[in-house]
Amino acid sequence: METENPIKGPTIVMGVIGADVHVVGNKILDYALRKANYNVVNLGIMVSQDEFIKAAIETDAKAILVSSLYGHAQIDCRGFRQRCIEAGLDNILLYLGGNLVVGYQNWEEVEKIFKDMGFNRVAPPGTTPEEVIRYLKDDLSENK
Amino acid sequence: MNLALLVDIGSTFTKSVLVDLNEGKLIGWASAPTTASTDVTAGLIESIENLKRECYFSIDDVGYKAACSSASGGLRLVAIGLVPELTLEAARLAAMGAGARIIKVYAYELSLNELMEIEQLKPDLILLVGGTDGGNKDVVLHNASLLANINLQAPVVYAGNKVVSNRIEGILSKAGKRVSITENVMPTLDCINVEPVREKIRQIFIENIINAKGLDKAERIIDKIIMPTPYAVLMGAGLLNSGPGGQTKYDDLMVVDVGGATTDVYSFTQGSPSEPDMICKGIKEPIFKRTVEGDLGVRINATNVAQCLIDYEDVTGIFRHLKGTNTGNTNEIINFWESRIHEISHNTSINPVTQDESIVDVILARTCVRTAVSRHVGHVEYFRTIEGQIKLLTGKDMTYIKTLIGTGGPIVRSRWPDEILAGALFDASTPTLMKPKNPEFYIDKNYLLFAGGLLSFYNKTLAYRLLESNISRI
Repeated sequence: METENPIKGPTIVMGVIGADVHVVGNKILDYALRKANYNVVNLGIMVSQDEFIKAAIETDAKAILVSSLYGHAQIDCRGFRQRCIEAGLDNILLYLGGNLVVGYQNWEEVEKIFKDMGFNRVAPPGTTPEEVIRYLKDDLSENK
Repeated sequence: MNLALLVDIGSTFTKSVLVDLNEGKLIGWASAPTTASTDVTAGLIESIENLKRECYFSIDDVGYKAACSSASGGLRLVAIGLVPELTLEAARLAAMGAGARIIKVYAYELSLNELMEIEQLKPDLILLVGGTDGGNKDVVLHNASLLANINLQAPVVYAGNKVVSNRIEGILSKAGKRVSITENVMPTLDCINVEPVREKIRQIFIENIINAKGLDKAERIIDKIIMPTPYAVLMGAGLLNSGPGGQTKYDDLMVVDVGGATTDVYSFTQGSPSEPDMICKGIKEPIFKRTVEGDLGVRINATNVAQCLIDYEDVTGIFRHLKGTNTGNTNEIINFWESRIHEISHNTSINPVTQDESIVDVILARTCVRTAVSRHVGHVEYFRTIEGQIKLLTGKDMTYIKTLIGTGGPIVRSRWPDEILAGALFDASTPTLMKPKNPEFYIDKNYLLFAGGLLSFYNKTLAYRLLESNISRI
């Protein structure tokens, strides 16, 4: 078994939002982020907005990664950025990825919807963990 | 030197128990009213003199003397944490496990008003937590800075983000406050670490609070007061649960203690979900859990307890069940019930004389048990997902608790303790509450849980024997 590096990178909170029990992708992303030495706080599945935010406050997280896989992200993520601001997490990175909508054909339109809602990055289906790690490296080094 | 003297300096009575150390057997017990307003030694001496009359022993033969106490309001604690559902909840669980009486909790950054409120509350101890290790530090530093200015002598226990432990110690000790640092009660979000905090609170109870409450004078007679009473009860029940050498038949154990003013519930179980479609939510509670319901008691809170009844069927049903064909009609039963509750609320030291009065006490005690256990256990919420229905479990699944022990006068002295304990059972009309489905019922017939807890610090095997021989199956 590999020994984890005891000195970890920034804290990332992650989980699957809404009434959704898909967990395999969550586990794969968790593993990849830990290997890249992030301090991962994985809230698992069926996570509410408040649970993400409370965990981020308690752990001083730098980013919240929200997965949504059953097409209801517009409803489940409504007001998320505003809640973060209210909770004192004004500048926290918010990422969203998965099967975000049902029926849209144009990715640019989908991406705009969620960026307008306050998400810093919006990832389509098929995004690899390596890409997510690259986004984090770019965004977190800018914020230093 | 083959005897142990174990004492509980309670809020009303000082009870002393004599145990044979060769076999871990109860020899006898006695009690006297606690004299906390003057000096507890008077009540303590009287209790021990009563015990000598019962058991004919000499103090020179006593090899181990120890006491616990809940006198003078018990261990009054204020907890200050960060997020209420996270570090503050972990602090509450730890403080309850230390036998404390939590008088108020505060979340996030304290305001000046809240600081003044804490001054007025005059707690015996302040528990400051917040931030996982490496997590948030601003809030806990802010709170420590405010506490440095508080006009109180209460010691502070810090069990938060370890990254700022030294700074917090510096801030508080420079301001002349007594501060103790211990491990973070929630080092990571998925880990609750209550043992170090429990032990630290117990040490502070011994070092500081006993003196402050004048309980130190009792130490001239007993060697030491080593813990708050609920801590001793928790240790006793915990020893039954774990066994002296790790072997026990009382795993998955619950204890209910009904009193005149409060009802305590203690449980020892993993509480893992018992069904495959259950998902756990919220923080993972430690194996033991103690809750105290300050509004549920059969005398001082009788009126409140009567209001916890779902409907009068709870009253008429039990009268009919226990009296058979001798019961009157529904109106007569309900009128008797109402007038008896009224009587109790005006004379809280009243004892039952007739059978009907005893049955009223059964209903009150059973309602205390039912309500307290409902608040203690975990609960499920049902969710529809595209995969079908799933259940979210918050707290612990206690449906498979195997042993339920009743203690406290209202249960132990009742003619129908099984009827009272039945209030703890899973109820199909409230299926979301994870109450025990099929436990065996026992009673702590001589109220020895505290004594077993005190004795366990001397010898676990003897203490286990004492406890096991004093719980009887009903």
